[in-house]
Amino acid sequence: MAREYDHLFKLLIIGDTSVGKSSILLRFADNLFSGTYITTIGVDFKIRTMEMNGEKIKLQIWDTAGQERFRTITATYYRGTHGVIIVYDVTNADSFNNVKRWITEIENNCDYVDKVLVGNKDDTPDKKVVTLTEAQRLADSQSMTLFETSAKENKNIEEVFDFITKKVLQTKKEKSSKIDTQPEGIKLRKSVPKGKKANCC
Amino acid sequence: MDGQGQDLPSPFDIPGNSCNIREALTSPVSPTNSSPSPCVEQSWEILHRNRNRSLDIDMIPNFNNMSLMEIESGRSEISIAAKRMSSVVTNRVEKPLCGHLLKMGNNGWIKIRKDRWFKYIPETGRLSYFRSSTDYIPLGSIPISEATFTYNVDQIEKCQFQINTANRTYDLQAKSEQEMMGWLRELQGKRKEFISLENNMLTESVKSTMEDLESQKKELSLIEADKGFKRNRGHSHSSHDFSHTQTYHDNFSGLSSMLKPHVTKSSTIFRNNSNNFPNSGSKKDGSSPWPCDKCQDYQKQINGLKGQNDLLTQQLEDKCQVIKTLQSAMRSLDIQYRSISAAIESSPNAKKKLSNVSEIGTQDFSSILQDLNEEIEILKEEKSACEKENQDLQDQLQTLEEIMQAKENVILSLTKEIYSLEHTDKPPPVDAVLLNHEPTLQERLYESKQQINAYKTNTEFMKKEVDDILSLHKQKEENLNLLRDQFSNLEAEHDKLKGKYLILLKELNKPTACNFLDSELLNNMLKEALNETRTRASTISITDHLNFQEYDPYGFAYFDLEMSAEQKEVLIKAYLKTLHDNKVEESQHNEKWNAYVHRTGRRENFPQTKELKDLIRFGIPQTFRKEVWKSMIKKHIAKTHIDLDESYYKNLLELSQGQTAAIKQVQLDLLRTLPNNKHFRREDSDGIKKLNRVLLAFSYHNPRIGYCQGINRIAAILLLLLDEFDAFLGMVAIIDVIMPQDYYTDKLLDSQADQRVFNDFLSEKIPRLASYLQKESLDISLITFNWFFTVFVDGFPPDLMFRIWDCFLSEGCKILFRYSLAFFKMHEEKLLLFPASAYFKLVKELSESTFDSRRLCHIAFYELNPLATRDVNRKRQMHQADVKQEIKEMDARRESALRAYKERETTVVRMSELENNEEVYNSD
Repeated sequence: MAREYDHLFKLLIIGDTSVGKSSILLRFADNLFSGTYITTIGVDFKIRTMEMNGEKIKLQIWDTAGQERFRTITATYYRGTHGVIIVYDVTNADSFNNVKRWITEIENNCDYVDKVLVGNKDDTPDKKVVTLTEAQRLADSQSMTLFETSAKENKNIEEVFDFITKKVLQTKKEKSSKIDTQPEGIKLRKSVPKGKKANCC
Repeated sequence: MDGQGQDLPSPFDIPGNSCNIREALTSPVSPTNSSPSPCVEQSWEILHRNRNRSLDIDMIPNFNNMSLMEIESGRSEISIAAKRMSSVVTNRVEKPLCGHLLKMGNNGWIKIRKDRWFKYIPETGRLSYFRSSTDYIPLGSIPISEATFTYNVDQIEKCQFQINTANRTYDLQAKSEQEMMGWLRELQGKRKEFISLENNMLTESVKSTMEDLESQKKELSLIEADKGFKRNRGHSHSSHDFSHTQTYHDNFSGLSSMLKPHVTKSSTIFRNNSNNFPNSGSKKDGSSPWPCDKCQDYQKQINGLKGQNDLLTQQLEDKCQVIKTLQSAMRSLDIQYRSISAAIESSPNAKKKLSNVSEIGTQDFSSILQDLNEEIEILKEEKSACEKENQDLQDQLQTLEEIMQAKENVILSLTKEIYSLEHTDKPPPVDAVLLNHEPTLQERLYESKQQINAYKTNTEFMKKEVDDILSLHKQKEENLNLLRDQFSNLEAEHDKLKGKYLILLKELNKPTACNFLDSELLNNMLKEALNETRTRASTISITDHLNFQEYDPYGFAYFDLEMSAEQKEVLIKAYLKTLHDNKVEESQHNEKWNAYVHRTGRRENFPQTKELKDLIRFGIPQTFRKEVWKSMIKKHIAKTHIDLDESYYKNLLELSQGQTAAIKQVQLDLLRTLPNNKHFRREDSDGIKKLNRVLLAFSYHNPRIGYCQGINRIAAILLLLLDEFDAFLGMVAIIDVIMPQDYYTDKLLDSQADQRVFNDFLSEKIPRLASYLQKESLDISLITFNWFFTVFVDGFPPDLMFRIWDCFLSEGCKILFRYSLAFFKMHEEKLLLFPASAYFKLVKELSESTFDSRRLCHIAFYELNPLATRDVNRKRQMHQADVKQEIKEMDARRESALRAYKERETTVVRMSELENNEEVYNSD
């Protein structure tokens, strides 16, 4: 039997509550959109396999809870993560202002991880409060790529995942050329040995 | 007719006894006799004729030994014939049952007898009839297996009998009574034989169908494995078998309904026959004393007149005596007179004197004489009058005597009539009376005897027929029940197969599953299939309360929007299996609840007893759930929250309006609480406003928690069952009382600790799985956190979720551990095989398709023990301390990181400012 995948990457979606994290994931994984997606408690999982340069890549995407008090538990989710998608809502200034808090969360929990900034709900210009310039400036300051998306209109969603996957793959290849790494695995538990953790984070 | 019977082999070719019945048989039946009950009329006629004839004869009861002997010999002849016939029947069991019978046409008013060759076909259980014995194609056939048989005893001489089927009554005529009885007996036997044969065949067919199903099941699983598409054949085959079984089912029900009226009909005939004797007996009893009162009156009158006559005679005699005395007195006076006149003649003086004296005396005497003569005259007249009167009386007496005589004659004639009437029904002693007087009486007596025998045979036959029919009916009913059971089993099997069939169907659609339109189509197809399943599986009571339209009784949609076709398949399959497996236990459990409620008489304020606790463990029926929940909530808050009333709640609502932060978040989450439930689906759904109020009130009631994502689902579930205020009390009971205090607070400390406690228990109770998870570095608490946090609202089918809630409200938060552990125990084998790369997704799918709440419940309460509360608490304390410490450290790290970020930001700002300054400077 052919191998199920060549690479397995874990992606994490973070961001304030109700910015559309779950909607982005649902659009990407199942190509569906629901205006009212149930609030995520803890974490939710989806899987999608894609092909890039003839390689099968299995993406395990973790969708996290946005409410602040869940941050104490989401901390554990960063382990073994290859890429993080930080989402804010272009119609909600607070969610944009909190992006920096999310960036510190990443820094706090990972040594290195590929990131992408996503301004979601970019489908009603009247309601848009976070301008592209503003967001671009923040992205630049953090050396991140910015995407303005709409899960509702299926705008830029594929592109976001394409981009982060490419980046993660690139990082992996660079790393493996430097160090002869062991096969990839998902490291979730805090009991994971330090040496392994260094592989991805 | 006879000739034909001899030409062809007939099982009833028996010499009949030469009696009137035989004659009656051979005599042609009037074809114009089309009245609805000709037999009844005719029998009346016979009876009437017999009565008249017996009245004609001036009979005197007398027995004739000769005639009695003749009767005896006749009887023995019949019995010999019957014996011979029965032996013929038994000897020819193996040979085909066939023969000539006259069949009455039933078209229109005119009934025409047609000679038909009847043959019983054992394979079909039908009595076919042909134009002649050489014909191959029958004119028609009578289904004996569904038929009942009757014959009319009043028309026995006609040898007609009826075969009643559901659609038609066949009037058939045999050549002799024996032949008819033979046919009937044979047909009864054949019917019994065929039905038992049919039952065997049926059981065989059911067995073979089951085997078919088994093989098809195997086939299907093979197909499933190969993902081939051969299932069509197997499926259509199985449905064909079902329809076959259905037909049998219909036949039986039809027959049983048809049997009933015939049974009653037969019994009525039987009763009517037996009624004849008591009636005649009562008539006889009434005729023995003089029945006429008038006669007695006349008798009395006559006696009175006789007495009067005697009296008058006596008077007459007395008068005669007086007359005689007077005559003798006259004679003596005459002598006196003569002697005196002689003396007078002898002496003139004396004579003179004497003549004076005698003159005087004579005058006296003559007057006396005259008086006397007058008196005599009167007496004479009187006498003649008396005599006349006497004569009159005599005449009168004569007339009366004549009347009496006449009456006596009438009575006598009536008695005779009675005798003659009795004579038709009475056994030989009375009938023998007739024999003395006319030789034809013998014949008539014989006829009567025949009739009696016929009645007897008829009674016996009817009795047998009724018994037979009853036993057959019973047998069929049993078979029917058996078949019903088997049928419902088969249906369940069919449903299972259908589940598999649906999977295969889905396989067909798989390449296009991502396409919106096709998944919609598939959706509809699945719904249709489910609807069909529901109507088919009407025996499964649980399906009744679920209408597969869109929502369950609590308003939950059966399928989530984002559910893939595979997930739906898994759900349908698991659901149908559970329905089938648990239907008996479920109905028993519901019975227990009904009995409990009936016995305790409680429909609300349920007491907290051990019995109730045990009942709750396997689920509260929907009917009682609301009140039981209310009672349990009251119990939980009784100690700590005595002051909670509706005014407190209203006050909270007013106060909470100021809590902007909570209001904002609650508003954001209202539609994201239970979007798959119709009560919380849209902004105008009935639950949304209540949910808003309850959450706001609670956030003000417990400011340490305020609003935490997750408790909105708890509130929503409570609102599905309870009123707003009760739901609020439910929130208080769960969050303030049942759960540890820091479950939903700022750092979710106790929630995190509980996951570690759970991990400990998992290692203890299901070590194999725990070590597998450890090996694969899978943190299962990523899944179980949600279960604990939302009390299983997240990720389980609503029915199971409600059952867990029943126990949770009854027994507290240890239930969370019990059910979580039970889930992993139940699916341990599967969970050991899931690949790590998709582990959480698969576990999620597994939990969403866990319908077998009974099994899960059993594991939770009986297979995980011991699970002591003490143990839970001890572990909790330990882990709570650890988590607290870790959170502290993390907060410190986070703080420093944030500080570092801010410093970096200011540095960047400063740098850019410096750069700007430099630029300004440079430009200057």
